[in-house]
Amino acid sequence: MTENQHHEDEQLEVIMGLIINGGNAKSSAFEAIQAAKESDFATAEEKLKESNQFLVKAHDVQSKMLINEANGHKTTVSLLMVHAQDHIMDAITFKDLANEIVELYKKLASQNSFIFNEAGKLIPGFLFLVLFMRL
Amino acid sequence: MAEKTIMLCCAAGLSTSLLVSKMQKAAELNGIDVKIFATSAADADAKLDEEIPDVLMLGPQVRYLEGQFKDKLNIPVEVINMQDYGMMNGEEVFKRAVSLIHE
Repeated sequence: MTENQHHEDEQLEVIMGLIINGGNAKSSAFEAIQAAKESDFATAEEKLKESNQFLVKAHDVQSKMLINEANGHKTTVSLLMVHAQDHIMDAITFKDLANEIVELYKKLASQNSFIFNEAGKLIPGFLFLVLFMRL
Repeated sequence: MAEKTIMLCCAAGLSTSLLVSKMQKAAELNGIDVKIFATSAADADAKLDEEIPDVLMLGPQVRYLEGQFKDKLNIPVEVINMQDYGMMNGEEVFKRAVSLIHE
């Protein structure tokens, strides 16, 4: 294998690492929202944590490239590299918003649990409260 | 006309396009006549109607779409192995796709 070919393969591996970790972070964040939608908040929290771990991995790869660049070893910027950066930016934004959406679902669930019980039936206590307020 | 069609799908269809060329090589080496193409998640539905693939392989970065596709399709749908994807191992992904078609 020529030196050049070896370098290219290494480069591709780094880029794919960014794409996969960025993509996985987004996938996990998406699954967190889906779990929260079903009121499964334990899974939602788990998935948000998982999303963060993938982002940390992507961040490590990026940091290494930045350090290399600072040391005078420039990374070639290819279209695929730009695309990989897109994936990471997208994942960061998506994960931050997923955090907020999970919080919203939690709030919604705690408000609903005051009016409805787990089976979706009206809670008698709530009815009494409404009656009491009318009196 | 190729016998079977393998469809790959990822966020923008960019990294899977790279994988397509590697899988195509693996297919040629094995002497199998197969059509392989990649698409973006946004264009996936249109391509599914147009090309009628025999198997759908998803990039690990769009893992969250797996459930959706499984619900509406009656062909095998699978997320590509992360290591194979990272190494752009066309041979392994091709073998997996073929074995999914024959399952």
